[in-house]
Amino acid sequence: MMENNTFNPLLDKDIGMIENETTRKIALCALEAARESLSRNEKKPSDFVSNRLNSQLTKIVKGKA
Amino acid sequence: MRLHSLFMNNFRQYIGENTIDFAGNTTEPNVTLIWGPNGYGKTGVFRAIMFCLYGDLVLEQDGFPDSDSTAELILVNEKLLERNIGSRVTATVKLIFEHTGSIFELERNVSALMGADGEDPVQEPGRVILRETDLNGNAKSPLEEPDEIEERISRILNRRVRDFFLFDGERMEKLTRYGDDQRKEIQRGIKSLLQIDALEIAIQGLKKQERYLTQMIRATASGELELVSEKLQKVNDDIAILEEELNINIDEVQRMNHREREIDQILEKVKGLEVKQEIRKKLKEEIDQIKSDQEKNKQDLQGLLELGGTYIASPVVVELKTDLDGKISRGELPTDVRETFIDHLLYTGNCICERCLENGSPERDALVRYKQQKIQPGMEAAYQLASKLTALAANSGELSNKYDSEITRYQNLKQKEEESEKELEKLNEELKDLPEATQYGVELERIRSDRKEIEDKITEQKLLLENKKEERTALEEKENALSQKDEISKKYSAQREEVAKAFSALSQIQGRYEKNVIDELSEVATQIFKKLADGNTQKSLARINVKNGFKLDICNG
Repeated sequence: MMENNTFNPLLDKDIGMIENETTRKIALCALEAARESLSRNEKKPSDFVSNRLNSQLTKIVKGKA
Repeated sequence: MRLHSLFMNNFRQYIGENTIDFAGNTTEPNVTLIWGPNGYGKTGVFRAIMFCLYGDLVLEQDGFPDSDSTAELILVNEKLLERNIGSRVTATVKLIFEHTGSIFELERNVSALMGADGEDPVQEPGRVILRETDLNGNAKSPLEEPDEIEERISRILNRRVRDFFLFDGERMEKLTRYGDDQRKEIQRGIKSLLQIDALEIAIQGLKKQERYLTQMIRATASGELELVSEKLQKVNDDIAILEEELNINIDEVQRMNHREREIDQILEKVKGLEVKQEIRKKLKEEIDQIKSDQEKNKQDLQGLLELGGTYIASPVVVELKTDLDGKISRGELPTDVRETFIDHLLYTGNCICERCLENGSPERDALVRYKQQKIQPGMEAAYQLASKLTALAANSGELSNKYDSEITRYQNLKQKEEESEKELEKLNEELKDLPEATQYGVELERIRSDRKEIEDKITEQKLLLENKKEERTALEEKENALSQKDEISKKYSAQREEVAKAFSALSQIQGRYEKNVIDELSEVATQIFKKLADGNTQKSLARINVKNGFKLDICNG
């Protein structure tokens, strides 16, 4: 997991306050993937996020289906 | 991160071992200034830091395009390479710094070889090692894998934001220019620092994943579900387009409102200056009147000067008159016999006593002799002038008073003229940049008419969007109901539902977060800029607004 940048504590706090656990986990997963894509200087960062979500969704949404 | 020291060996123009100890490890001083003429290695120091931390072989100012991943500069000292043709020469940079109480020692090498054929040197990255000693003095295992080191450094100072903490004078100069490129650069910096860009990418990624899941549902389903999914996709696309158009229009109305306020302020200023314009007009009239009075005063003074000239000559004339008076009293001159009277008697040939004065008569001869002896040329004129001067002398006090009065008048007019001119000049300066009210009036009219049109469009778009959203809800319900029947689709549907919720949650956070940050950022940016600006800029700077996706906009008062 990438270390959270502390310039925006409000942002992480806001996401941490999402009540629904599944929604919160997906939002965090997307944000972490986005940070990683920027750090890696990915050419298509949103594709990177989508792929990461795709690999994590089954685990996160387990039991929902 | 606090830099302690930088060691360079054979790096760029630094031959041999060179160490810079940075200030700040004790309480004072806490700033290290590196300065010198061009080409003396200031950028070399910066280059060494960037190479050591990130392995950068080029800097932004080297001018290589971002896309050119093969771009590099020879970092090994070129004189040494020329002296050691055919042998590999190594350059080393070691940076010691502190971060959150730990001490880091990062060492990176690069080597190059110059062939005997005179071709450009070939450069190769060398060993890199990161040693860390924690707050309690415990040394951790050194990292030697470039990827691990990159990740560790990235956690200390992310590559994306490093350019806003580590930069040299050239970049500072570039950033302080006020142009669109600089605004975009600052926009990018703000977004990176606050991780707004990460949030945006996360939202885009969620949207992409939602679309992907929709496709999967469609691919695994058939018949009616497929049709419903297609319709839903279309409605979703329509909504996205509509929302985008709506946002553009809302932004445009906001821009127009902002411009309207600006123009109102300008017009208010113009109105405030109308009184001054009137004063200026009156002042100009007053100055014209003063000039006319001055002309009159000049003429009056000229008249007085002529009289005065005569008066100045009076002692000579008075002396002449005294002489005449003496002659008259001695009987040398008749008191009242004039040359014209004698000429008249001689011409008519008759005296007033009716005696004949014919030629050869003793009376006529006596009269001719008298004229020749007593009446001398100029005496008559002198006498008349002296009489006038006597009268003038009697009035000399009055003349002097008039003269004084005209002089005083002249001085008063002169003073009044100077004061009025000064006042006019001041007013002219104040009214110099007075904007043309008509021009703004026309723009205001146009803004109001255009805004009305856009607002009507917004109302229409909102209505359409509402309908589309209702349609979407109905289709989603139908699609969910249909997909329940299909196990695989059911799985994708559940995932899509959760992704859509996360998308909505992050979008809301983005809106809320941006609003808070923008207000605070505007305030802080204004305060900081006012501190940095010179006197004139401080006076004219009203506020720095953060808008249009984190671009800074400077508003002058």
